[in-house]
Amino acid sequence: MNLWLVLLKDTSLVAVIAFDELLRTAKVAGETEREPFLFFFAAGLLYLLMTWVSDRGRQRLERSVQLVGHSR
Amino acid sequence: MIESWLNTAHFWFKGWHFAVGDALCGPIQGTLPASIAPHCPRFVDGFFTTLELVLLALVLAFLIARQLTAWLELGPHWCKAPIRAYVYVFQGTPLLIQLWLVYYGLAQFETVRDSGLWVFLSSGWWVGLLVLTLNSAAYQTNILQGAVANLPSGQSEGADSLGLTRRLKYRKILFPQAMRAAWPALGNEGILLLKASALVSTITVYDLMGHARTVFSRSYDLWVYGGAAVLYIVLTALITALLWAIRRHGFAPLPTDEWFSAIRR
Repeated sequence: MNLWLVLLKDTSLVAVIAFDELLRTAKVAGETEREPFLFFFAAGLLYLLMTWVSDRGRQRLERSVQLVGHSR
Repeated sequence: MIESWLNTAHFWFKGWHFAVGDALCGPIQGTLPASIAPHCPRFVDGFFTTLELVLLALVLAFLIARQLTAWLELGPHWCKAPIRAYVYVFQGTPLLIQLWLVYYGLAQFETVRDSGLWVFLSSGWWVGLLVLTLNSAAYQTNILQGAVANLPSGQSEGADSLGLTRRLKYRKILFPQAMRAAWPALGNEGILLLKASALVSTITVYDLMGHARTVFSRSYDLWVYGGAAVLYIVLTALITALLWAIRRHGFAPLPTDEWFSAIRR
């Protein structure tokens, strides 16, 4: 699960080699609109949303396989 | 005033890097691949730039993380939610976005450009240091807090039975043990930060990766990246050795096995 979260964030690295994913789209849009902060901030929020959803999924999964009487 | 001082420091460090580069590169010139040999001092400069950036960021981040962990354990109730939020946000977003947000994003505001902080925020190196520090501090806070939370409950109970205050219990009993438990994880974080630091090359810092990219764009020889990779491995080995040395000599000694066998007899 940790690996999934790390990989999810590492997908942003392909922006450096000019692949049009979320971060690169945000960069280009921010440059055309002359508001880079806004667009990077929005991209950051979207990534946060994705990790949050993944994290909730993990919690549900953990709860469903948990033994009765064991916390965590 | 600050600017000229920073420039002096910058040129001092660069001069030092290139002096070492010249001294090192002369003798091994013949053994290097032809595409790398003329750029050897650049690699040495990148090597030391990356090393300085990562070590500084790690130390500063550790100091921040130690304080944040202490506040999570001992602090007033209202300070816990903001710290958790900070950790969550910095762990939940890519480092690249954090770097670009601060370096390219903040420059859009005139108040930022006019403020005294602009000296730092317009320099890729300082933004790199700031963001790497904040990012690593978030991860290290998580590691340290987890280590404190996972200590055997007997430690806490034992300290309570001795009548220690909450502060003293944390400082003398819980935190030192948490440090031992957390050290391997902190070391991992250090290695990860080293590799992540290559991203600062996208905000104009000439670290190892930045130099490698420039050299590559001139020679189009893939060996350039191979050479940079080798130097990153050397850096990893250096940091690992440093962590081992601290592990061996920096921690207070534990009762050894001999001590235990002595009281058993």
